[in-house]
Amino acid sequence: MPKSTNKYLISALLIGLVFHGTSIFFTLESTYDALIHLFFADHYTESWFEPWNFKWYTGFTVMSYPPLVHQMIALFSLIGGLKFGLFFVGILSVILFITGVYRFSLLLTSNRKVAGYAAILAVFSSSFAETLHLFGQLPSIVGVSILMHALPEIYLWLRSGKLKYLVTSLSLIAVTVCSHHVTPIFGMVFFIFPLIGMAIMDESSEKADAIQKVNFRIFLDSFKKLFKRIIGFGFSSLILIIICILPYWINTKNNPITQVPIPHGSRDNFIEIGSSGLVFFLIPWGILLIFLPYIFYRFYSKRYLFFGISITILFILGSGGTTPIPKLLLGENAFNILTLDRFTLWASLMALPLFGEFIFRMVEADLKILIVKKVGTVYYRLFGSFLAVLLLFMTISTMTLSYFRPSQPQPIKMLPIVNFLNQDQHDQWRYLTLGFGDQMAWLSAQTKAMTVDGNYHSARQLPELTTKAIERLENSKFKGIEGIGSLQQFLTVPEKYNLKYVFSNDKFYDPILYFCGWQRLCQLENGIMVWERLNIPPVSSILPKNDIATWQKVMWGVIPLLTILIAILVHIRTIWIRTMNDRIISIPVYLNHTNQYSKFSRPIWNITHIWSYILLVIVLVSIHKIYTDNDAHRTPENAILSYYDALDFKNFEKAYALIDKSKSLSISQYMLEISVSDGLLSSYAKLDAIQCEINKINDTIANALVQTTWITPLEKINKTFFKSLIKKGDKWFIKQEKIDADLPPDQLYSQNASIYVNHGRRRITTEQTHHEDLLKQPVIEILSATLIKKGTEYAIVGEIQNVDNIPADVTLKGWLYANDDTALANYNAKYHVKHKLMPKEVSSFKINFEGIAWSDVDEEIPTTFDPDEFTSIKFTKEPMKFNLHVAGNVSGKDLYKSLHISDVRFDDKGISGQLFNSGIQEVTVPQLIFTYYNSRKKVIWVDHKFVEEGIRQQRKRGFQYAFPLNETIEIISTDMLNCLVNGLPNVSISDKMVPNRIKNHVNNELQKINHQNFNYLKIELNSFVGNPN
Amino acid sequence: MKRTATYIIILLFILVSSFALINEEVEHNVELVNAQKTYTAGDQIVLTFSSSTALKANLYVSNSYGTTFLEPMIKDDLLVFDLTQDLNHNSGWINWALEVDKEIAIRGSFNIKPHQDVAQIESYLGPNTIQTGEKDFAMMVLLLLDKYNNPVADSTKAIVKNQYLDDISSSDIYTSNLICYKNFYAKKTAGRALVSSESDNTYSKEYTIDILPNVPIDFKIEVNRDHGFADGNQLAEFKTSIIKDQFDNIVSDGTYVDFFIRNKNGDVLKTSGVTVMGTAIGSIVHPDQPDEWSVKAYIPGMAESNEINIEYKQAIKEFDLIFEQETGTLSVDGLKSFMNQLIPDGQRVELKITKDKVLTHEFQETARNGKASFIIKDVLLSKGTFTFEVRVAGLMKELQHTNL
Repeated sequence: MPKSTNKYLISALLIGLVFHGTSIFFTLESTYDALIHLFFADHYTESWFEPWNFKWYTGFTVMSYPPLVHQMIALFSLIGGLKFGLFFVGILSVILFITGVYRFSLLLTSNRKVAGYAAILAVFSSSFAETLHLFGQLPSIVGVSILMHALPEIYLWLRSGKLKYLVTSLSLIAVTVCSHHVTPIFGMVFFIFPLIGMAIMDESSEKADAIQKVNFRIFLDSFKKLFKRIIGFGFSSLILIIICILPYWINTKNNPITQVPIPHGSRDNFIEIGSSGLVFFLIPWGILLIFLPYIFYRFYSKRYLFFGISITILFILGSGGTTPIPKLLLGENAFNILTLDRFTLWASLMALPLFGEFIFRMVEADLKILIVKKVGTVYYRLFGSFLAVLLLFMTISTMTLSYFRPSQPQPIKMLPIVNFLNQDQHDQWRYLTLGFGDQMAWLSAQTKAMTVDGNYHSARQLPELTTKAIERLENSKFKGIEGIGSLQQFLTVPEKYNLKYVFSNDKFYDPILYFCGWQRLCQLENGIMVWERLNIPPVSSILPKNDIATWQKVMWGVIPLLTILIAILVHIRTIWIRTMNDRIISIPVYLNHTNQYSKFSRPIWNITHIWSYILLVIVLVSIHKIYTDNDAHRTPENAILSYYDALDFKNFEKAYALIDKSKSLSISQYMLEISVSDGLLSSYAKLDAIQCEINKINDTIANALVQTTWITPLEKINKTFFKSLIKKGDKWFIKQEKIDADLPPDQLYSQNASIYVNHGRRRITTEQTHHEDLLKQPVIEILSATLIKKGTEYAIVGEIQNVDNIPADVTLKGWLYANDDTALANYNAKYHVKHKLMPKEVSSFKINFEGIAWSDVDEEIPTTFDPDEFTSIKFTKEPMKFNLHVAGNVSGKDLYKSLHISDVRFDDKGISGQLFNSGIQEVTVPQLIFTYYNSRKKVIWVDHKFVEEGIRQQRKRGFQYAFPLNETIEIISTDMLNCLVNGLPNVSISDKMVPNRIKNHVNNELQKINHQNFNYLKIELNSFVGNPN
Repeated sequence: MKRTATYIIILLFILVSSFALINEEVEHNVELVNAQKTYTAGDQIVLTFSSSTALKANLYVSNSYGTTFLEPMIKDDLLVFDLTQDLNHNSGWINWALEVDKEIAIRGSFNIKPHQDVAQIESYLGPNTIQTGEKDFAMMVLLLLDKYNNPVADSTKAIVKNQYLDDISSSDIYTSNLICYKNFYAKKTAGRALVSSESDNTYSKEYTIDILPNVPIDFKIEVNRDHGFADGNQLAEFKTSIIKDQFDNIVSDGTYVDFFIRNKNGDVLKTSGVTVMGTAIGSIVHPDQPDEWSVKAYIPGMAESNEINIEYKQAIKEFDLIFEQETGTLSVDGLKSFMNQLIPDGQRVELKITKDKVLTHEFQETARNGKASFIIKDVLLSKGTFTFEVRVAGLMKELQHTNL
């Protein structure tokens, strides 16, 4: 028989290359992982043999991920840049995958045609499309593809015992190991074990003449016969797994992952959380779901029995938290570390050969005859086209999912940021990106500046990050308050990390930046806002790193590519013979187990047929349920929920559709009313939870008590709304509330103000600022400072004044010491100080000593996170003394001081009052700072409140504030000996700048209050202007 | 045992004799021919040693910058080391030692003095802003350097000039311990002083000292308002007199002034202003009910103003309160200001509902077109006697309603 080229495989390759090779350019860059691999590749281009990377997480080792794919990208990037390398390897992985499926299918089905069908179907496999085009997991694809290539070689080794097959299979296993570590380990269990089972089964069936005659005894005999080969292969591949990426294992052992597990959608209950079910179950299984009965039926036939067991386990493990079984199987620990979606990926790949077989039988073999005979040609054609349409639909919708539901922010032009970092030595500080998504990895790859964040969470080192279940600081808003909590620690004490610049692509983070003492520097051409923090020292020129032995570095740099070279050398002979020689030298033994495909099992057809209809019904019912759940007007609950949902997503047109228009409210009026209400709640909040209690008055009128929880960058806001609803026709509408009718006094008015500019450098030079241009640090005086203890919490409270003639940015840092001068803790003032002071302006302050939340691994993490929740440091000794360092820096920004108190009323519980904005800017987030004094008019406590709504120019805004609960405050120390300003003793500054200070000058103007612990109160105002104009 | 002892003795003997070998003195007869103790920077420096035998020698030389080895040129049985090329620029002591056969044969030192002529002036001034008065000062530090960048010899003269307003003064200072310096004390008037220095026909750049105003002293405030009615809608502006320091300088722009307002109840309201040309304006909206304010401004710890008292008269004299049973609406109407004009929109209207003398609800509305209404249909669902208490601009009206 002359050998002919398999036209199915060729067409599969052609279609695959055109289809994936084209679309990859539009999808890969916005996937979750591709840019991370790109960043790693960039590392290898810069230093092939040095595994330590300083750019992320204040330093981490790239030995935390197998290097092969990254090194390949790095290698190809030498030709056409990093992205070329990425796409090239991506396309390479497509070829490897299609051929891999072909070979695996050929091995399983012993039929070239069936394998060809499987290869064509593999092109459209939704799980492959998802892994490549949505997740961008190149190493995983390369790993599993090579593994599939290895399977026939392993089978041949087991059956023939020829050493050359052992060499070929091991050479491929080595490549797999170097590209992805998890694949060979689990691949052993789920692919190679069943393969061994099948090899034994085939051996037995040849011995017994027919598969039906195989019994346990024969099976055992064959097992004994093959045992040595199995053991030989097992041990040598185990050695390969260890040796090939030995530095990886050493690194894992030395830096074990002790971090809090990061929630992953693949561990969710897919029925409860539909989106996870879609991404991690429906999409990867895709059309295969219809063929589940056939797949299981075939896999549980005697020959494939072990594959049957394997795919069953994979199916169950892949179902995540839907059933408790995966957790029981894997154990709590592994369940929380592994991402379970890969099990589904492997299961769906394992099913591909049989999918190919089914389609083959349907298109040109026994199943076709069966269907035509049973239900006729028309139905057969309809069924066929239905399947084809469904297959294409699943694939295309998978690939375009990120288009319709973007998982990433719009592509950001990185050049302006890269230029910014290169200018003026900005790369001497660390930076942080906010709202960049996975594109932060692309930025890191392009600049030599370092960030405190990173995008490979297994490599995190800082306890501030590892103790929280957040992947990155960058997207902390999506991790609720837990993320924000982590972020604010970095923003409050940035000097610890030499963090000076924040690139913000999301205005959500503006308030937290402002109130942590950051200021806007400039907006780059690409719309990214640069925030900076003053008084941050640059990164030292020598940074610590975990150095490792040179032999490890050499192994890491050499072995991966060597495995590829060896694999190519080993296979080149076979490939040569296959392509150049028309004669068939020898038929591989696995082709002996052919199937006749003469009679399709009738019950299986029936079951598949019925199963398809069941699936169809399930789909239709789900669609109907989704429709009724989302029909906003159907019930008052729906109306309220969709209204707040629309408001949350700023979908005002949808919100307007839910408003009762009987008062002739036009959309323009509605939009106007919405647009004038700025503030924390309307511009910076994300709806976290909503509960709605409906009180139906009659059939057409209902009242709703809506309890909402909003996550804002600053704090969690609980807000209760009362809404009235009215039914018109059969639709419910929400009655619009009246808006504040406050009318400002003036139409056009002016204000005189001092505004400042600091050139930074008057001379254009790349030198550091010339000493003539160095500005004197503004002088701040610490008026009072007291160490107090409230409950178990320690704080330094007091007052500072800018005694200079220029405006100042202030940074306060407090240290606590025990009586024997052991340093216990240090922290910066966060919200409780006005960070920007005009000349002679006074601000109260409080420094809380915040610990790293849940740094104790055994400590139980609260299930819901509260932003205001405060982790006080666990002190080993009692703090008795304190140091306070204040640094002033010249700043001409954020000096808006036109917010005033126009009315206050006091009662025993708190204050209600009115703020008035007399200036020319809209105050987005007003903050009140409350300073409490004791009977001797000494500062003993400082508290704050953010007003949820903004205040427009010349308008009033009410506020309510409840006094802190009665908790005794103990004064620990009032010794101000160790208070330093700009490095100089406070006393000397005080003597020099204001020698004749009037002590307790404004004490007469303090507000007397009725409170158990406090006698007097002072209110100061601070305002964040979100959109200065 | 005996044998061991013998071995040890033999070993010890070998050891001791080898020490003797090492310690053997080699006498070298080497002398410095051209002994000179001082040079001037830029001079030719050559050390010549005479030696009785042709020697293999190196010169070990160290100055304040570091240490080096030199190899000799041998000329007429003399060892000649030329230090001119690398070592004659930097002033200071140079120590040398001649090493012959790994032994130091002779050592010595000489001094290089800086060149007499000043070639450049390195000058530093700081801080560049100081406070008026006689206490604060800025310091000018000069480093007079020769052409090889060495600080010139002590007691070299420099002239420092200082311009302030019309006055240009000049003073001579002399270097001591490598530098010379001068303190410029602040004057009583704020302004800018320019400083320069020169020495030996070499001139420095121009330096600036900004003399900024001192701590402010007490000042006065006055109020500007359009009328004295409590309409909650106009602005009252508190304006300070020009705030100055004790030397009559206007305080820096941007100086922050706190205005504390104490109302009739003794509660503290607050506004603030920052100075422009010494005057700060703090504005605040009129109260919406009659009030008496006493206002005082502070620059905390430094200065304060006089206290002024202002009165706000009742703007709304009365209003109507109507309850409509069918719609469940409580309306406030006829909110008129002091000239019977409708009160400007935004007037606060508060409603407290008590049921059987228990407070059940509180509402707040803002008036529009002199009216405000509360839809309280759902509040009145239960049976009982309700009291509606409405407060507007310090006025209070009550209405009773009984649900049967």
